[in-house]
Amino acid sequence: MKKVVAKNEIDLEKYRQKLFKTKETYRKEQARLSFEQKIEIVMKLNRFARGWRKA
Amino acid sequence: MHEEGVLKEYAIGGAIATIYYTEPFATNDVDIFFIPPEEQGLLVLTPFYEFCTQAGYKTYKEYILIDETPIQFLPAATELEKEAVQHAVPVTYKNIQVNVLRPEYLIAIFLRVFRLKDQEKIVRLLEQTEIDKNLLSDILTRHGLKEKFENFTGER
Repeated sequence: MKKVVAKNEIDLEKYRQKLFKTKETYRKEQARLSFEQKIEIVMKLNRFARGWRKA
Repeated sequence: MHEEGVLKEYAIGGAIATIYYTEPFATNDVDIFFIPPEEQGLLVLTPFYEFCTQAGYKTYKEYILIDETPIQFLPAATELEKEAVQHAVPVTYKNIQVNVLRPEYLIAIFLRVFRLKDQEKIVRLLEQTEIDKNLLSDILTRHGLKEKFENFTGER
């Protein structure tokens, strides 16, 4: 990751759009994981959520 | 259960089925739709219950707890749900074959239930997986959901 500087709100908005695009790409990549890998992630998310609720 | 004939026609639905087609997201339980067997004209809504308790699984209300995962067995109550189960796709999970509802049927079922979390899943499916548009249109038309779908997608 590079250092990013925004000079104004337009730059900031451009960067935000870039982040959203990356997020979208990542979601699509995640959608292509195997069912086993996805279930592992779901289980981790659930454990994480349970731990959080207890904290 | 399937191998022992306790649960004949079944398919995973809900969030876990959605996750099969989309990015993974947190969900608490597993929904399994099944077509209830008939005994002397009565629908048996819990054919698996005895099997599970004898196998040592704990229960909590209508859930059966397998490890820490609550599993709910939902009798396919409508024609849409029955059809969805009958058209489920076989999927291999850890060398075991399981049936998962097709995304087009998931959309139709979520559209019928239509809570906020169902709407969210419809969006995920539409955005993240290949939908057979002809099949979806056919399902929605036959089950009276076409207009609701158009209103929903039109609003977005």
